[in-house]
Amino acid sequence: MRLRMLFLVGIIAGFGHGRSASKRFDIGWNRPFKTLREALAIADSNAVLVVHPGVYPETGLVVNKPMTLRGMGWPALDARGLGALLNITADNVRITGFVFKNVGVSYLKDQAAVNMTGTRGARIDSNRFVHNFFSIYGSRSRNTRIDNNDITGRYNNEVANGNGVHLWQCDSMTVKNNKARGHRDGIYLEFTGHSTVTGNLAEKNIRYGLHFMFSNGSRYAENTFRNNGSGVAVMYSNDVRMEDNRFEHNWGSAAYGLLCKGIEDSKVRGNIFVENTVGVFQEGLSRVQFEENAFVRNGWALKMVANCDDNVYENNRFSGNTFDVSYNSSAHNSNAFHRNSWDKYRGYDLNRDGLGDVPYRPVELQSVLMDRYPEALILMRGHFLTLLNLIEKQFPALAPRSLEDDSPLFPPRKDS
Amino acid sequence: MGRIFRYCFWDLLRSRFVLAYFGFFMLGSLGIFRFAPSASAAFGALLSAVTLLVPLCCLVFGTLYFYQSRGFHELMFAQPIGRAPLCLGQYFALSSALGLAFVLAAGIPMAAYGFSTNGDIGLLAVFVGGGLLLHLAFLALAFWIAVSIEDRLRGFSTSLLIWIALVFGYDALVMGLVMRFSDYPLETGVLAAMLLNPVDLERVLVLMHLDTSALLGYTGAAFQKFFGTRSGTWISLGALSAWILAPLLLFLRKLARKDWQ
Repeated sequence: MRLRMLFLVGIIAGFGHGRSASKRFDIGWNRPFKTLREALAIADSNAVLVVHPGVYPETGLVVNKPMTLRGMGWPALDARGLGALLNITADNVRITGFVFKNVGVSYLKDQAAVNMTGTRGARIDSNRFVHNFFSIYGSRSRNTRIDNNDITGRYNNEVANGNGVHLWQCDSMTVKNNKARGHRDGIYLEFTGHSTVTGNLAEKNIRYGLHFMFSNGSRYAENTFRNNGSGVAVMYSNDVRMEDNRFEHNWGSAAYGLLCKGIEDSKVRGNIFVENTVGVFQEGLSRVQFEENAFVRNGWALKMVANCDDNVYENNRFSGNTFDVSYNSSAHNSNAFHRNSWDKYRGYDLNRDGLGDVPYRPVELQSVLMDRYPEALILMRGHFLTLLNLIEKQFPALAPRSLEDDSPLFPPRKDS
Repeated sequence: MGRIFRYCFWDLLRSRFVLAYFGFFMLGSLGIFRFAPSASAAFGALLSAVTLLVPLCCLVFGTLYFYQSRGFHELMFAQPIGRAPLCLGQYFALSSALGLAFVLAAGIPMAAYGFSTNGDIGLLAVFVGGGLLLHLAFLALAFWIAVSIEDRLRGFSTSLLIWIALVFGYDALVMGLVMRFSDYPLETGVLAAMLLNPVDLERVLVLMHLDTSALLGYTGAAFQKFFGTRSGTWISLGALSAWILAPLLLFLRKLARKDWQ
């Protein structure tokens, strides 16, 4: 009996000993370790470094073993404009609960608050990033989760400003529920395939809210992109899914809600485009499906270049846009529109099947002219152009005949 | 001149045409402000109405008014008052009456629906001020036409032609030139063209204050830059004033030389 008790105690003790292998280091002005650097120097793999409140002036910290860095009560790591903060080179590192501040601008190195190079399984969650050059920078990393971070950039200009979340040559990354503002690009993915970007808010970034290039097989959903200098740019990728995002008020003479260039075999579904100069700018798109998107009060809802082919637009809603569609060729078109709702549709539905009996032609004469002769835009809202438009509606000549919605919804759905 | 102005002004305020003018603009702008989704959209719609109707009404009513004053003129020429003070008094009375009707009809609905212009006083100034200057310009044109052309029918058709030319034809011409010379940088040329037509100038000035201006691309940016500067503002004001002074001077010259029979 006694022997058995002893055995049990031994097991518990042994278990306890196993746990204590993930040793805890406390860092703070009145703790065993005064700085994170001291603790990092001696911590073994799987250690937990708990940093207590305070401002810690640091630069150039390296995390080269799997471990957890946990901030309690928002301790701040302040680079004072001098250099980078954390460089992660090991797998399975978790960083949470910190404030990262004032990483310095460099024109030679991409200095970041949290840098990951060639790592796997990192998790960067629930941190605050304030006034850094780059905030989170990943290169050649895999299976990383970046979530619930609050990222505020320098709000200055495109040159002396880095990106909020910058991922380069990564794979299988998850960027979720972050807020990114005031950076050059809020979230930037290049050569980063099979990743998901969901539930983020990117606003007031100097250039793009989301910048996305050569990132095949990725998905971004339920994000809000608002008031960014040029909106969102998605380029040279295929098999991309863009779903249920909001593109709001990206307004200015060079702003787009969504700029798509060289995208193939992808799906754009359930997004809302409100008050953008151009809702979606499309160049070199092939076989992309646009379904159930809403385009409300944009300057141009869709601006298409004639090298877009075999794209399908179904069940989208267009209302209150100055121009619905612009297209810069009058000869060739292989894009198809079906069952969209157009508030400018003036047809009728005699058999009451909910579809208009005459096709809707979304390319107006004035948008054709404006495309070809941009200087003539200054005549907009002039009465001559209105007159021309009326005539073109009756006797279409300039827009390609095949660019029409053969079955527009009737009556068109109301603005919401 | 002052007394003529007072008499004519009060007389005009009671005239059916001015009341109808006021009522029409009032209803129109009430409707626009009631149903427009945003202040910007409302101003856009109101702008279309103003640039279309103000020139038309001023030209037609101006010529009509001058022709109908024939008896009054003949009576007054027998009195110790010069031609110029008499007719200028009428001109200012007419512009004040129509201008007042316009300002009230555009201003009351704005106040009633509490439409803020997002603190953009410039928009309000350009919209109302520009509208008033349009009245002055087109009434001066109308008087000049009426004093130059004795035959009423010809007078009316001339004012209608001028209306069509300035509201539709001029834009068509600019469009044609833009298409013809699209290989060249045209911002300055288009800008100059807009300065030369009061209707276009008013439209562009208001557009620059609306968020529609972002749609105008780099031409819009060039315009914004021009109208943003002090000299740009003065030049556009000067252009509008020239459109008032030139027909007014031509009118006065013709008036002085005219042989009333």
